[in-house]
Amino acid sequence: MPSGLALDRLYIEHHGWLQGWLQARLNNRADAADLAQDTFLRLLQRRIGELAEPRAYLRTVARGLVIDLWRRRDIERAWLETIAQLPEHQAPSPETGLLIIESLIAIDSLLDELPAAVREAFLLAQLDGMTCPAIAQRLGVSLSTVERYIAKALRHCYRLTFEQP
Amino acid sequence: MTDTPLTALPGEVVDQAIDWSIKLNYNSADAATQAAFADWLQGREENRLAWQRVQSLGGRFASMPSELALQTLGKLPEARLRRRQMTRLLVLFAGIGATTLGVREVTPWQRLVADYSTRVGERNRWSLADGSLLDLNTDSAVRLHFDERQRELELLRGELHLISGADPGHAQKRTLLVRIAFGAFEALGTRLSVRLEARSCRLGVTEGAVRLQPVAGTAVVAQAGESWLLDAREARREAHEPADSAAWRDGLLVARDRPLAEVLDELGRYRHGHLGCDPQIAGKRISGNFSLANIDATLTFLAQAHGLQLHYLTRYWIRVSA
Repeated sequence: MPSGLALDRLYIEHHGWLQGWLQARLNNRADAADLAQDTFLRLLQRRIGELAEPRAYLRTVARGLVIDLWRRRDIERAWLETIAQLPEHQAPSPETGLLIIESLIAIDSLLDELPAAVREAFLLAQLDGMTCPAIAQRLGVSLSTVERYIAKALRHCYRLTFEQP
Repeated sequence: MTDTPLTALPGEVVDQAIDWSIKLNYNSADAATQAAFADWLQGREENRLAWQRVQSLGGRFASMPSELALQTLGKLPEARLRRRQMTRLLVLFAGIGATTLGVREVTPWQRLVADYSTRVGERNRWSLADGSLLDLNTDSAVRLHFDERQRELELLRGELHLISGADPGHAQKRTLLVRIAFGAFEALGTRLSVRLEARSCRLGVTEGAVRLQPVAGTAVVAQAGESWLLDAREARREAHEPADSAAWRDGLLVARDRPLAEVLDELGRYRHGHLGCDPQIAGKRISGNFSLANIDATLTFLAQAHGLQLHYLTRYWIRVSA
């Protein structure tokens, strides 16, 4: 963690620049201010020594936050569109909705790198509890293809869960 | 539980556990399969740990309202595509060496470690510091390694086209290289295109010459007008014209008497989701120049021109039939 003084200096020297950098990309002053603030909060929580290239580091952190923000917005919007189609008494409560959105964000970032077909087969298996033969029929591909997709997705989840440093 | 996330298991044990999971969790297993699984599970301590871990992966999917969750996630690719068109996310990734400090903040997309990249359906062009002109096709990523002796472009995924620059400001002309996992292409005053696939790489030379160097094989020199296929062991000459394979720079796919399945594979690179056809018509011969600007419109056109039907099973799953 940088010492209080070092962080102060970092903040004074680069905060304005970072906010400008974010604003150019987000087209939104309030979001840029929030994310610039969050970026420095991350630095507080993290053990880092003297930064050789502070702006490169800040950009990397900020870029991750921008992606998280967009992912969250996409999922929130998609969720609201989905429950808007339900009769009112069937819609989950806002509290439940928040928990589901959190889970969906975790799932979406977990499966992000997988090809669309693999992702779709895996979600049908996990969320709908469909068996491989049923998925094969639904998607119009062979059983062995579906099994390969599921294995690929499981391997991917395993790697991210148990093998990432 | 004594399982800590840091205990590394051999890859083959994990693969076995996944195979068993597919037989038992995702299919209906008969008694013999279940008995064989019990034997495997009792075989080694590692097997048991791998099985526990694979089983735990489903945990985060449990207790979700499945239909709503599926619908929500199904809407995402569309939302992303809309936003991409509006805000040009690319700007974020262009021209930035994200690995400077070895920090990985988010999912390690190849795009995030790249200096130049494109998303699915996107094509773009950049002038590099040495005067070279770099084009990236859909879903591609390149990292630059320029130093005193050479200018190296590492193709991480996808397809590039390169027109070599004069490299002013360097008395000793630096070597210009395109490197891929299993080999390298040295440009000798050149226009070239390189397309990376799972185990091989295609090279087209439209001007000048290129030296191909497989990782474990002998180098050869390719001349203008030639197409080559490179894998780790060797380089082979191919029959078709390189000009056709670089037509994407002009936003076109040029097909000359190619099987429908291949044409669909090509078009599928430019959109999200699955695009396939019935086996009976996979070999149907297709010729034409197809626009890459709007793939869905191109598919409609292709279907009309050849009397084919498009079936949208979901928005991201298209099947073509007779």
